[in-house]
Amino acid sequence: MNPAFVIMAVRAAIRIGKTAEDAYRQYAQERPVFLPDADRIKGDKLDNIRVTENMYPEFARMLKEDPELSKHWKSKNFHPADADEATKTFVASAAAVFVDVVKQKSGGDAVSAITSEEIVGGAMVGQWATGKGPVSPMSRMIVAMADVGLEYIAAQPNVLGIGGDGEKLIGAVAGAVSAAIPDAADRTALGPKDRFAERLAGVVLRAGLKTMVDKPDLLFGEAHLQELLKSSLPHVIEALPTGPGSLQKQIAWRDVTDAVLGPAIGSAMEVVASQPNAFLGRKFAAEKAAGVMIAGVLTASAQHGERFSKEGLLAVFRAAVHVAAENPALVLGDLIDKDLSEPDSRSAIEALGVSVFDSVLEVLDTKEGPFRGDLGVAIAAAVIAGVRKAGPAIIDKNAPWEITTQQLLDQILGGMSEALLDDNKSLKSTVFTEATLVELARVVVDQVAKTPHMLVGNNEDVRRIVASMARAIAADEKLLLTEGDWKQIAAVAAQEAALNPARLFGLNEKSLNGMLADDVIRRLLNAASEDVRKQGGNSLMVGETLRFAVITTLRGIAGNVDKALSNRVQIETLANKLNAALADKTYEFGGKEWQHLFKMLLPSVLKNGTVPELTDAKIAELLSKRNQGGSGS
Amino acid sequence: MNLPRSSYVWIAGAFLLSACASSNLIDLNNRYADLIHQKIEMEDLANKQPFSKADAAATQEGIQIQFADLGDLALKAAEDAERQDDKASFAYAAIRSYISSGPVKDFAITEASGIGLAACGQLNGEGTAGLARLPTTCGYFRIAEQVGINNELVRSRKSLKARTLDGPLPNADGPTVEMLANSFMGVFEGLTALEDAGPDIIDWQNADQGLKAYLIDQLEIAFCNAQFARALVSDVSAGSGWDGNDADGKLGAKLLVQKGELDKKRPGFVCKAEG
Repeated sequence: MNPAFVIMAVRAAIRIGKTAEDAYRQYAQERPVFLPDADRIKGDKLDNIRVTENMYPEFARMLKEDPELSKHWKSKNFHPADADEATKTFVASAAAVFVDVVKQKSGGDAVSAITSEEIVGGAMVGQWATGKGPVSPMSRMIVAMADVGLEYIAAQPNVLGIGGDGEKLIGAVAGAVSAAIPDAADRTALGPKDRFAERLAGVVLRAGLKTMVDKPDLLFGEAHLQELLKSSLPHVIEALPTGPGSLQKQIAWRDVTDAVLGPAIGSAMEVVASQPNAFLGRKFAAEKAAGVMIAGVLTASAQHGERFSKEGLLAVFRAAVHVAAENPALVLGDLIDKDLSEPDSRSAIEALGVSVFDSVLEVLDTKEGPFRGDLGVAIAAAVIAGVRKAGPAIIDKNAPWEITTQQLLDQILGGMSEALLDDNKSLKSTVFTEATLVELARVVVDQVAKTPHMLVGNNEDVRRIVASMARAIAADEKLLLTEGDWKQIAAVAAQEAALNPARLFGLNEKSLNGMLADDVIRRLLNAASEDVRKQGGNSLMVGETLRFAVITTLRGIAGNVDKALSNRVQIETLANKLNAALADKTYEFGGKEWQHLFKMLLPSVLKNGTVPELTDAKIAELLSKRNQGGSGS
Repeated sequence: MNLPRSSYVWIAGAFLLSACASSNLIDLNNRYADLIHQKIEMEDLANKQPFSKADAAATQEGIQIQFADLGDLALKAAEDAERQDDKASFAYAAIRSYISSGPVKDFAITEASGIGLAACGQLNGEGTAGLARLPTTCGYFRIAEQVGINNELVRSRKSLKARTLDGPLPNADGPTVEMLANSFMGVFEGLTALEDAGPDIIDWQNADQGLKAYLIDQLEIAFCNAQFARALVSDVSAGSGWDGNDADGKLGAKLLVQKGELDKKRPGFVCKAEG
C-alpha cells in the first residue's frame, strides 16, 4: 500500500465529513464480536460414568459383563450415600474412564478438563466471509487513524494540514503496519494480528501526534519516522501470541502495548527528531537503534512487568533510547545495515532490545531493600543517561555497552546500600529523597566519564566514593546543605578521588584512612550544627559557606592525606574558632569573610596541627590580604 | 490497496463523533470486551491459591451484575433507536451481555431477541438480505434464543440434581426429568435448523465462517447437556407411574440420531469432563 494514498484518504475523509454517519455505524456493526457459549452442565463423578455408559457401548458392556465391576455397578436408582466403601472406590476409578475416553477421542494430547477459557467460552465472530465484506483490515486501520487524528485536529489544526508533521506520521504508521500486515485477500489467516495492528496504529498515532503538539519545534522527517516504526512495530505485532489457548497471553500482550507503546513511541520520536546527526552518517541508523529499543521495552515489560513499574521501565527506556540513537553502531552491531522489518531479524532485535533491561534487572536482583525496586530502577535510568553523555569515553567498543552500565550501576547501588541500609534493609536516614540519590549517581557517572580508569579491572573507587558521600549526606540530619550543595560537593569528592586513587576513600573502609573524607565532612557538619544551635539565624557557617568549607577541605586533604589524618580534629577546631570569633560581629563580617579566613588558615592547620588564636587583630591582618588571594569558591 | 469510492465515505465516518448511536455501540462493545477480560482473570485467579473460592464467587457475581447492567443499557438503546439496523445492533449487544450475566439477567435474552427479530423482519421486508446487508446478525438472534433456553434448562437440571443429594428423586418427578432431556434435544434441533435457514436469517455464503464454527460448538454443548440430563433418569425411583427404563430407551434412541448428525459436522467430538 502506498502511504501517500493513506494520507490522501485521510485528508479526503476530513473534507467529506458530514456524509459519513452511516459508514461509521457500519464500522461499529461489523466489528468482530465475542459470542458467549451456552452454559455447559458440569457433571459429577456419577454423571460421568453414566454418560460414558450411554455414549460408549463398549464401556456399558464392560460394566455389565465384568464379574468384579458388575458387583458394584447398579445403573438405576443408585444413590452414593447408600454405597459401601468398595463401591465408592469403584465410582471414583470408573469416572476416570470418562476422562480417558475424552482424551483418547480428542487425539490423545488434548486437554480433557474444561479450562478457564472454556468456562468463559465463546468465539470471536465477524460478519463477513473472506473476501465478501466491504472493508479490509487496512481500511479499518485508516479509520482507526482517522479517529485518532480527529482528536488533534480540534486542538492543533496545523498538525494534519497539507505537508504537516501529522501527515508524515500517518504515512510512517501506515507503511510500518502494512509491512507486518499485508492487505492480502487471505487476511483471515492472519488471525487476531490484523485487529491488533489496527489497535496499535491508533496507539502509535495518538502518541506521535501528542509529541508533535507538545514539541512543535522539533522537525520530523517522514522517512526517519517510518524507519523508526518499521524497526519496531512489525516485531510488536509478530510477537502477539496466536493459536489455541493463547487468549490470556494475547490479552497480556495487548495490556503491555497499551500501557507502554504510546509513551515509548513518543519518547523515541523526540529523541530521533532531536538528533543532530539524524540526516548524516549511516542511513537511518539512529532510527533503527531506537526502534530496537521500543521492541525491547515491550518485551521487557511483558517479561519483567512484576519487577519494573511502568514508570521505572519507561525511565530506563528513555535513557537507553538516547544511548541507542546516539551510538547506533554500538547497539546494533551487524544489524546496522539490515532492513529490520524483516521477520528473520526478530530474534536478534528482541535480544538486543531486551538486554539492557535484563542487565539492569541482573544488578537489582543482587541488591536489597529499596535498591532492589523502583529506587534502584530510577538510579539505573540516571546511570544509563550518564553513560549516554559520556559516550565512547567509557563505553568499551569491544563489549556490549550495557556491560559498562551494569558495572557502574552495580558499584553505585553497592555503595549506597553499604552506607544507607540498616539491618532490616531499610534506609537508615530520612534525609534522602530519590532525587538526591539519583543526583549523586549522576555526578559520579559524570566523573567516571572524565576519568574512565575508575572502571578498569576490579577497581572499586566508584563504590567507595558513593558509599562515602552517601554517609556524609546522611550525617547532615539538620539539612544544613541543599541538594544542589551536595551535588557540588560530590562532584569535587569524585574528582579528587579520581585524581588521588585510594587516598580519600581508601582501600579498606574499616580503617581510618578509608573514612577520612567522611570523617572531615562529619566534623564540619558538627561545627556548623553547633553554630546554628548557638547563633540561630545569625550563623555564618550555613549554605554556601558550609559548602565552601567542605569543598576546600576535601581539596586540601587530598593533597596531604598523612597530615590530614593526624590533624583532622583541628579542622573542626578551626571551624569552631572561626564561628566563635565572628559570632558577635555579624554587622561587620559575613560569609565571604568566613570563607576567606578558612581558606587562609586551613593549609597551616593541616600541616602543623595548630589553630591560631583568632583575635580581632589577627582577623584584621588576614582579611587585609584578601585582595591578594581572593576567597575562591 | 484500491479502495472503492464509497470507502472514502466510510473512512469519513470516523470523524463523526457526534454520531451518538454509533459511538454508544462502540462503547458498549468495548465495555463488554473489558468485562470478558475481567472474567477470564477472575477464573484464573479462582484456580490459584490462596485466592479463596468465596472471593471468586463474589467476584463472579460482581462481574455478572456488570454484564446485566450493560445488557440493560443496550436494551434501552435498542428500544429507543429510531433506525431498524440500530435497533438490531443494540439488541445484539444486549443479548451478548445478558448471556454473560448468567442467572442475574439471562431471562431477558428473549425480550432482546424479540426486538432484534422484529427489526430483522422490518428490514427484510424492505428487501435486504440479512440485517442491513450484514449476513449474520439476524441469525444470531435465533441462536441466542436457543442459548437462552439452554441456560435456563441447565439451571433446572442443577436444582434437580441438588435434590438427589437427599436420595433418589420420587417417581413423580420422572416426567420432568424426561422433559428436561427432551428440551435440550429441542435446543439441538432449533440450532440445527439454522444451518438450512435462508439468507434473510443467515446469509451463509457471505457470513464469517466463524459463525458456523460457533454454531457447531453450541450444538455440541446442547447435545452433551442432553446426555447429562438423560443421566438423571437413573436418579429417579422406580415406580408404577413412570417407567424409567422406557424413558431412557426413548431418549437414548433420539440421542443416537443426534450423535450421528453431530459426528458428521464435527467428527470425533467429545463431551468434556469437569477438570
